Amino acid sequence: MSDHWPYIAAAYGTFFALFGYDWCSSLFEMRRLRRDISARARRDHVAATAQGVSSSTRPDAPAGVSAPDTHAGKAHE
Amino acid sequence: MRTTKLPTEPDAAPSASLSSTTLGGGLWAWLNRLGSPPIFWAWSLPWQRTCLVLALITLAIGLYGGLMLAPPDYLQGNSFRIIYIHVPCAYMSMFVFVFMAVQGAAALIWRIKLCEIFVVAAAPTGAIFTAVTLASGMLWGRPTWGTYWTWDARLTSELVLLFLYMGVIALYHSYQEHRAGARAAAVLSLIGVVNIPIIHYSVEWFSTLHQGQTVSLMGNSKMAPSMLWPLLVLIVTAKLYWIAALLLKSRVLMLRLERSKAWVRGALAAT
Repeated sequence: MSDHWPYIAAAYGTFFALFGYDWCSSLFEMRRLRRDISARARRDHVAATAQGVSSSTRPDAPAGVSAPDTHAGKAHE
Repeated sequence: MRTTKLPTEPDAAPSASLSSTTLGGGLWAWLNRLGSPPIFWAWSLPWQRTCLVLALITLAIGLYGGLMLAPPDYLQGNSFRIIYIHVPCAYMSMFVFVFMAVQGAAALIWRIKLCEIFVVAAAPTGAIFTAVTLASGMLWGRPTWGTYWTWDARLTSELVLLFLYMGVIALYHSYQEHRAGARAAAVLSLIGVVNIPIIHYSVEWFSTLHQGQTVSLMGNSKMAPSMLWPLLVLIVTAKLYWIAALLLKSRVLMLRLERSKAWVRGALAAT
């Protein structure tokens, strides 16, 4: 009966390996997506700020024009 | 657990505003609101975490009971302990496919976006349940039957289920557009669900090597209580894990599909 333990160990090892993969793959995908979205939000914020600054420094720009107020840069890291 | 009140959303589904005094109408309105991605996103995270924590706790209890406390079987010895992962995974492999078929029908009839996401998000974990069922069954079969595999009706129909899961996943990914892929996956789920009664009744309809039903939720079980309770605990574990995984995968899919929407940035900043 004691020679059954390798089969039991293999079965439980498969169980933990596959479910570990199932959970971790989704978790890493979630983190990658969050990083991508945050990076894109930062890029948009920088572009919007640069556009606002350049338009406000133009000689013909109306007084009081400033960079658009966006919260995009506060996206979660 | 932290309770989350569903936020109101101005552009929620129109029928959510159809107030009804009946319980059914209220439930329908609630489900309609929950189908909105921002509301589902806010609602699902506490449930995902709660289910995962409960799954880990019940897993520890169930495994301790199954591997340490339960006595060896008088015929099979210790190899019977493989059933503590085999039976919950087998049960869930069938349950998840039925869930996918139900969600698929709802997605095709009412075109609910969340149901389409559920069909696609449930498939990978269902495939894992099926793969573990087959692997653990083979590893139990070698010391008990003397072979890893035989073309028995139960084993073969479970293998067909694994192919169906793989088919649903492959079919979805073969489309570039999400909704078209999800609808195709829903149709395959509805067709493939016919395999579930075949798996369940195969031990009665055919002369099989696989044993008949030992555990019954309704009637009397043939197992000793000292062996049975860890199995029931681990069945609960499997269900809790599946809910947590379904919510996580749905959130991932939702994030991928809605990444350009304004609510996503706000939601990510809030969590």
